[in-house]
Amino acid sequence: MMLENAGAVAVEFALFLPFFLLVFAGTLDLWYLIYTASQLTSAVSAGALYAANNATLVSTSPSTLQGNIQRIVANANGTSWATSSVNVNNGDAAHCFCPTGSPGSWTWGTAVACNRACSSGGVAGQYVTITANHTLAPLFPTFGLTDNSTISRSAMVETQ
Amino acid sequence: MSRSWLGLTCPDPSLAEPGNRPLASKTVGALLKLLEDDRAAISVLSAIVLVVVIGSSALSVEFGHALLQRLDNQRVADLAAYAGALVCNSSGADAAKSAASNIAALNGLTSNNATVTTDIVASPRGNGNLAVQVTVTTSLTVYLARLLTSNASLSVVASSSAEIEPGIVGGRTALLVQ
Repeated sequence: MMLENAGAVAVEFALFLPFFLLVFAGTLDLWYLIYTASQLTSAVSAGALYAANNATLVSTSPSTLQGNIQRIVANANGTSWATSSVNVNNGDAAHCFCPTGSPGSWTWGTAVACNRACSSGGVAGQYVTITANHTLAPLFPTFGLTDNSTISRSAMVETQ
Repeated sequence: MSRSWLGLTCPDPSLAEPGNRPLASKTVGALLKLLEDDRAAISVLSAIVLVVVIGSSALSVEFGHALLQRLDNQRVADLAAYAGALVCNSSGADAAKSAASNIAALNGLTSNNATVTTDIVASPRGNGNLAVQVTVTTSLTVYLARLLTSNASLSVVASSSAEIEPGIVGGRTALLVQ
């Protein structure tokens, strides 16, 4: 058998096959993660643009605005595809805020009169925040694209 | 020493025997030997193809990642331009620019990780109104593609304009995405 020549190509191919499969699996895994993250981004964008286009609801009916944005984000990519939390101007439609911070960990600060200059720059306004989550567990390391198998996207929209 | 590996036979050894042949003949003999040697043919081919496969996979994934980054940047640029246009009538152009950069920072694009430029320009709709234009540029680190290129980062740009409707204080603005 040691002198047999016929299976050599098959053996060599078998030796290299795992490397090819590893590359294919890694590519597919990362691609699916990126695709899912882009879908979540689109869902958050849709919710944010809805908030901007229906800014009057912030003062007239905050709960309607909140419910509609949550439905848009949840169902933008299929029924109940993502979960979201929506905060309409910190629950205070009568005042404006000077929020600070970064996505997902904003600080609203104290309520102030609208159009007053903020110490953090800009003027006080009314804001809607959206944080959306979708669960996805990739097989390979993801360069910080996911956290605890959850993809998350947050947006803060100024509505006034 | 055995001249076979994995039970493969060698080409006729006499072809490449150093012997007393002249130099040119030796070289030709060595090349002939290489050409006729069919050992490890798939290994050589696989090694070459593997580099190509890794390269193309890296490019596709990295390009996908850049597209995702641009989608995120576009979202932030849209919201920033809209916020700028929103306050322009009531608080002026400087406040509009400041509000736009503020919203970009609140959405994660600060001066530490992005370049955000805000301008007051003529509306792209061409109706004589002004618009707040926000351009967001981030630098995306590439990983696998470093095997093929010395560039360690990609520049991802997104731009958006929001029209300021004159006369409506803090009022409606038309959002234009370009």
